[in-house]
Amino acid sequence: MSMIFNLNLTYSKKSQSDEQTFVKNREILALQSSETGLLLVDVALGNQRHKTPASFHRDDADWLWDRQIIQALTRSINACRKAGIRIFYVQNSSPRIATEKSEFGAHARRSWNCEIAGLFAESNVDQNEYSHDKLKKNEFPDPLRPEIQDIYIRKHAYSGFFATRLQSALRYHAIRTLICGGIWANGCLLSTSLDAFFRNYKVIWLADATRASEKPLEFKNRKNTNRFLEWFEFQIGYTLTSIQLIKALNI
Amino acid sequence: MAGRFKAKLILDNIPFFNSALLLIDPFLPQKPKIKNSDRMISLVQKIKKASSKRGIKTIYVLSSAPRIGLEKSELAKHFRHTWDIPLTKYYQLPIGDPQEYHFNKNRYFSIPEPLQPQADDFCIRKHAPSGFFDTRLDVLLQNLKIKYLFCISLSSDLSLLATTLDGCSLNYRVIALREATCCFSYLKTIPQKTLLTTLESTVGYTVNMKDFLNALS
Repeated sequence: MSMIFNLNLTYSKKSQSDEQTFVKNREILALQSSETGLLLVDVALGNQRHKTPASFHRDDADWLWDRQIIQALTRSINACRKAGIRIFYVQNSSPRIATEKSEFGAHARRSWNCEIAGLFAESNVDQNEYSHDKLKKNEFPDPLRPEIQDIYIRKHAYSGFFATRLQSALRYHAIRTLICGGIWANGCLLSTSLDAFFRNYKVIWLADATRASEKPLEFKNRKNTNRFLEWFEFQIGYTLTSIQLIKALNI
Repeated sequence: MAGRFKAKLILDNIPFFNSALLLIDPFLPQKPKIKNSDRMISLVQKIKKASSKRGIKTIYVLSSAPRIGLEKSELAKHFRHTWDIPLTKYYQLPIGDPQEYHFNKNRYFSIPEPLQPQADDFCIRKHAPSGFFDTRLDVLLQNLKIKYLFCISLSSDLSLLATTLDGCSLNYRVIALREATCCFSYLKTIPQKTLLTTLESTVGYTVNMKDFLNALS
């Protein structure tokens, strides 16, 4: 059963007094649940990040942040499931397509010291189609694990749209708006969101359900993440928090 | 004749290291059992082996049924009202991650045992007639620096036409192997001769399998 819900969103707007300044602004959008999808990018964060480890250190800020993101994603997933909003996962994978000969493969060797082909090998795939490793699989935190009715797309580049079935899936389900969360705000989530925007989808980020890579000195203030959230509001779309989403869905 | 002549001309000059052998839906219908299919299967097998010796990569382009709401697509509606067949069952394969694919034994088609993909072959799964539509095929071909596509489709005229048309648009030189072009198309919606003429006039070239084998050797 489709319903209309109102989202109170943040976006960036050019200041009327100063051409160079952009200020945060608010807009209420009425959305149809059947035309809205929750897009989760690379949320297979391992199955330990949401649990309290035996030797928990209070200053383990990185772990705490991941846990906050997982909680925000969990809230959003549960609310969307109840509201009948379809969930789309796009997840890194290693299809056997000679990636080692690509520019992406060369970049991974040059900058990251790693081989991209086979990096995301998995156990539960067709060996003819994907790199296979019987000891590895994409591990999702329990609350984020996809259910059989969810759409699960394997990608092999930053963008979930690049040479995948994501656009077909969105069209078949008549989706027009994507509420997005996941990793990284300056990598795959960003690239996927850009491609979504140019394909004419309205793109909304869950501000508390993503993070960018941070330099050690900027980590405490989440400076780079905030920078990319602002950049997203300025260049692409809207943001809101998972709590605001739940309130809007009245769940 | 013109198509054969052109194919003969290019075969002498084709750099095989820039070529790929595309097996597009190399399926045989489960029923009715095709008579005299063994000879053609054996010929395709020979071509695959000879191609491999010359460094030509074999790429399988296989219809599949990913869980992406395929049943809501216009293609599925067409399958239902024209063929009375549920697309997801028609396309499903017996292997894959059940979160990603509808998978089960396909009662309509299967790949003949001698033509099953080997470890060094590539497999691209498609969900529409064209092997290029929302798949990794173009990425794979670019990574392998492929320019020439030798195409075989045993039974599907739709997949062959759609894939070769897109291949041509994407600037690949498309060459269909004549005898294997929809030789087992049991619906016979387009006669083989018409299909070959269409391929020659709109997409690229055709070549006799024997000529191709000779060129490879």
